[in-house]
Amino acid sequence: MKLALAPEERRLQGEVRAFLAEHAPEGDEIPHALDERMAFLRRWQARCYEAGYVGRAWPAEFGGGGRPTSEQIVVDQELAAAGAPEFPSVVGLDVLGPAILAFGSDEQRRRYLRPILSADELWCQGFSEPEAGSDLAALTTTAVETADGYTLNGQKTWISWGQFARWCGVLARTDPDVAKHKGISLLVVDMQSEGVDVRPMEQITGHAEFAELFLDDVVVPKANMLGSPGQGWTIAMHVVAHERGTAALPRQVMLRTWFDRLVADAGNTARDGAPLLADEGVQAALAAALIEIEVLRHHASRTMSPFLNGGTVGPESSGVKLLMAQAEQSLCASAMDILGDALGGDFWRERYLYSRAATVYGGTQQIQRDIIANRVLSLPQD
Amino acid sequence: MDLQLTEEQQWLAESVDQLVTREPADRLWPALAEFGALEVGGDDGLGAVELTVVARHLGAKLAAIPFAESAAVQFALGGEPARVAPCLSEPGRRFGPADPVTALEDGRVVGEKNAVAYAATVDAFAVPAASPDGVVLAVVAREATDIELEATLDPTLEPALVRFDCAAERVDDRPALDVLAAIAGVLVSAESVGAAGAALDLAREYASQRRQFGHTIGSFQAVRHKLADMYVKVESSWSSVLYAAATLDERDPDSLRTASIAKAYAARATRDVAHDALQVFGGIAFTAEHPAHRFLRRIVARGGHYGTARDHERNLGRGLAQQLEVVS
Repeated sequence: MKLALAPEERRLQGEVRAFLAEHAPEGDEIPHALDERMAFLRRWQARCYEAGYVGRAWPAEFGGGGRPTSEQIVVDQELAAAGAPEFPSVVGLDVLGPAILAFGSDEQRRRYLRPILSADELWCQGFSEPEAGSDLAALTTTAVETADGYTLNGQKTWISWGQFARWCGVLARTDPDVAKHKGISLLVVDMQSEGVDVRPMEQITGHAEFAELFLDDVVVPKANMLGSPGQGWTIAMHVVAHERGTAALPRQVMLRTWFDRLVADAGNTARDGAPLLADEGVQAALAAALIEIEVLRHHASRTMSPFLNGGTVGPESSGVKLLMAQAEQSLCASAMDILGDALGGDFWRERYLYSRAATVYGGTQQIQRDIIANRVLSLPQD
Repeated sequence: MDLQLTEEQQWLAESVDQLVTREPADRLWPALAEFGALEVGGDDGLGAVELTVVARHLGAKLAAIPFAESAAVQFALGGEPARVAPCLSEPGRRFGPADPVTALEDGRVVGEKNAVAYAATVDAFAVPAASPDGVVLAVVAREATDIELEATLDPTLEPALVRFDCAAERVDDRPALDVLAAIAGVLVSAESVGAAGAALDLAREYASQRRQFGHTIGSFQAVRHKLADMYVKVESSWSSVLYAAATLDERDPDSLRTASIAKAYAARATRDVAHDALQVFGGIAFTAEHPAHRFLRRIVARGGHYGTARDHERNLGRGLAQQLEVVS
């Protein structure tokens, strides 16, 4: 057991801090209009990639840094601590890139990985469908094998950044005659193909960061299958379980920066002539929010330790996801409680609304509990 | 960063588990001593993480020995292995181990401390006391004191009110009282994690066998989700307690605050687990014969030792306001 950073990690931390102090964009530098915003964020990611801070642990032969995973976590935590904007390649970096690394062919790795890191090509994931949300394995999008490859038909939803993506990792049914989990494959769809239609959807926050995706006789070459036919479900579950845990390590740092802002807001806001922060009830509410964030840090650090040290993490990551979503929702609800709707400003109103998605995306809280009940506690099914 | 137990620490965990399963209650202390689980600090002794591992396994079997107490004193203040209890609470006062009204005057300790676990079985007490030179720590022999058992949910802990009007055997004039309170809180939390983990194991077994409506109750989603939440609370409490222990071992500047967070969180989360275990068992857990209530009793009583969750939250919240100089 060791908490302190290794000397090499500490050196890296200092280097990243210096880089961010000089280069991290301020909030008002980032354009508001979505197209300009994306262009700006791609340049930001490309700059971080050149500095060695994106894909640091991916193999060097595919454009990565070839360094230990723990170094990427150090970088990600520093990015979060500095309030740096999220990379537009997030889906490629966290979900489909790892899937290609673990299950793709060398040819696929050479073709797809480097542009994910440099933000030259963005990815989206075509997993959920209108009738297959939590019951993802019930998906009905079909991929029928032809002489030219596969022909895809179906509808996907909750496609983050779908309107900007060059590639989409689509889960589709290639074999309707086997058990529902076994007939699913993962195909790489070129978003510029004929028959692809992306329709952005406005979210409760007012932004349109996700989209619906319609696939109408879209032809996909056979070489675009990741892994083997029927392996799609296994690949998707593997990468999603990892993502649940690894996302928490920078996420808790980000929540901590939001928390610090809430404490400062409560210190700067007067009620009856005294700062809100002088009120014992406010102090207790802040302490409760802090405890949730810190325990998330402790639990994510322990749960992800095998991964950081070269191993893998299984269904235990669902516990981290549960705590992560709860901590974010508690913090944002506390902010609205303490500051109130008007005083919270756009910052807290927007985060509050966003936080309601935390218990839904990446598998709902109920699905995480099902995973724990089945795969960790081995409870009987009947 | 690596928060996994080392091979040696895993071996320690297994060994203590075997030992506490095998030894009768009255042999447990000498057996732990023989094994080396009471050697604390220095190059060869156990650190906070190892003590936490031992405390968890003792808690899982509801062992009734002053391990957390004695180990905390040794960890914070040094000294030889001995049965000794820190006296950090005073009746009618908020938890504040470094702010006692108990006084040391002319070598005599005068005052009262409450919630002193195992008061009747330890050999000595470690007593923070106000002196003309500041707050000191006096070591007092048990025989010299007046002990009155307190009402408690868990009589196996034998908590007592201890009255002092006696000579100090030894005085430490620069005691690390904040470290003492932190490690004591961490170790009793580890005990509670052990008890909560054991309660979860029993509830899981029961839910896998008990049948109603023609199915095992463990197949019903309402019960499955409750057990999943219990699992997350046990594991996250353990993560927090271990993390806090590691900060104490590494003398992390944030260790006291981290220990406070672990104590506050584990006290509430492990109590939730005990409550939910009773719920999973249903009526049978309300019988005295069933073991579930013993875990509940231990967890609630330990949750109150060395600062309640509310005490720690209050200090954490006040600390936030102090950092911004909103309060003094």
